[in-house]
Amino acid sequence: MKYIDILTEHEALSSKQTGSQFRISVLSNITTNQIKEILELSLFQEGINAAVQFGQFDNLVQDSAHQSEYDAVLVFWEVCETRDWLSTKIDLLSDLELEALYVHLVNSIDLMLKNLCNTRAVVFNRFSGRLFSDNALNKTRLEMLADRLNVYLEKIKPSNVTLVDLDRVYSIIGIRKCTNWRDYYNTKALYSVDFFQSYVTHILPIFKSITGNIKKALILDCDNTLWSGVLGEDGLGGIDMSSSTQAGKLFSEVQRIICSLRKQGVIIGLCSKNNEHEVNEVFASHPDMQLKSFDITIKKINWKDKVDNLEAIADELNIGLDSLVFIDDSEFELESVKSRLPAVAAYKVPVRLDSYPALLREISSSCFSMSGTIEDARRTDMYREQIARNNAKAEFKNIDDYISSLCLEVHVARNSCEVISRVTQMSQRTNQFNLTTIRYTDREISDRVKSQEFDIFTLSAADKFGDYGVTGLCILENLGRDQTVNIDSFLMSCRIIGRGIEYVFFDNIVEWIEQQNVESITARYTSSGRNGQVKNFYDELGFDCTSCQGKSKDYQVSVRDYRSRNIGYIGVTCDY
Amino acid sequence: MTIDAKLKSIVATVMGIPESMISTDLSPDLLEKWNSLRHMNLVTAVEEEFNIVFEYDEIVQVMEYRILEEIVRRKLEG
Repeated sequence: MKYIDILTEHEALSSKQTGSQFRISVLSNITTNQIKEILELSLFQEGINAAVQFGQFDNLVQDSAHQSEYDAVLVFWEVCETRDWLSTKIDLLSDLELEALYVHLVNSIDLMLKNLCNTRAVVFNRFSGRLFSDNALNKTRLEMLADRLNVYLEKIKPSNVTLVDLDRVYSIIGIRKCTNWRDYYNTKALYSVDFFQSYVTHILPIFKSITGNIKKALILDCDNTLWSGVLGEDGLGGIDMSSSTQAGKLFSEVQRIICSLRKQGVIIGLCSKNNEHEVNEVFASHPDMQLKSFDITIKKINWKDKVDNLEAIADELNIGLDSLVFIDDSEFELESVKSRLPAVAAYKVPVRLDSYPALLREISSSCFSMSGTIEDARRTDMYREQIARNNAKAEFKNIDDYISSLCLEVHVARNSCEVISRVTQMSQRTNQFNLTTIRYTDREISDRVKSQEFDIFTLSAADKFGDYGVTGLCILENLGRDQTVNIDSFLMSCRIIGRGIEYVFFDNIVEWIEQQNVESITARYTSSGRNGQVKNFYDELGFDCTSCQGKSKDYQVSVRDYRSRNIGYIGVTCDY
Repeated sequence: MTIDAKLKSIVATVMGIPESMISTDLSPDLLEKWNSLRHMNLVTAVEEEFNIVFEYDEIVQVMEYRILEEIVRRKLEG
């Protein structure tokens, strides 16, 4: 994108930003100001109201002590400037002087990361001396210093820090396009605007993940998307995804990438205009298919409008349209999806097929790169079971009849260390059944699990179709006065809503609260624009609304007055 | 678009002001928003648009709209 277009677009979007700001601070020992508009624009486009600010030039360590107001801190600590013009001076240093510099830097890193330990996300660039030795056969002293510092960083890296490999970014656009030597030698602006664009694209998934902006499902067309050729015309023997033919091998590779995404927990779906039994036959019997029918969680293979089909897919999976990525080879279908469902990330199979696998790898890193957990891999199975449940629904006379037939069992645990990463993930991803939509990092959750002031309750559920895993979360905050506890967060994964589980979970938590001799409970509903389904949750539970300000409503109930729902058809076990 | 029109549109975007505010004597003294950061952005955008490279001395000289236009014209002709 041209720089002037970035500035124009940035200006246009910045006036439209609403909602709470996501504040990012850049700490740096070089001039990095031109990242501001580029980073803000990319985040605006993801629906994040970002505001980028800069610390004092070359004051990283000192500034790191005053970053509590920021949601994220970006660290550009260039090894070439750890001493003024070190890139050339380093060759003149004695071994002893160099060692002293290393020790000083290691101590500075320690202090800085200690200062930043409460920042939710620290994006820390790995050290690199590559810009000053792009064609050297042997490692320079600057590179060797950078390598040592990186080994140290890797060793002590706290969980709130993401290390970014600058060499990767250099290699994407070419190392010589990364710098502007005139600006470096005059204003210490080492990096070009081209570099910042590439860098921002590279780190974007970090921000998407901590703001809960993550894609969950990959929906694919079939003909000329999963294989070469048109099934309805070329027949089972005519379509090609063989790893030994020119066109086929690209589709074979694409299918393997999709399989590995499935293994990471991405839901895979089909949305294709075809005869369903013919597509099923390809999955069942074509010897070159890498994808198997069990990889596919949901399919809409019919002659209906793809927009309707995608809406139905989102609906059945109970996820937002903005959680879908869609790939098709037809310009017509893509335009229709892009214009009518702008929330769906839609990609076209490239005309030059050789770049198709690269496109998938790019989608994989920009849309689906997230911290993988064991739960993730189970998730696609759970969605498949969900669809089996929906189909079973039809056989019962009424919904209660159906729910009791599920033989639901839930387990409530308190302050369980084993599920910290799943708890974090839920706080980041859950949008609909989420009363306060407060996003937490691993670090924050693990601190709360250990803390006396907080109690974290998790709920796991299972029924006769399978195990849902950890799907409910409640964070209680012990206010320590007036015998009151506050519900900081209460959220449930959408795939288990509509069975009364949320009430059983809540009843159990209140029961525990009562055992602690607490008298009253306060709670809050904050509208996020996506959690409308729970706006009356506390009203339904008999809480009194005590105040209503802007997007938030505050509630209170006395423990004595709380009425349990006594739902009998769900079996409960507890571990507190 | 003429050089003048292109330049005015760039200056307006970078400085965040309407084109009508741009006179030939516009300078950091007259326009508070024209700080060193916007100055750098201006140079980057102009260099990219006209595919030219400023010498560092020229960057320092461009402290008036008139001079900016002069330097761009000289580079394009030269």
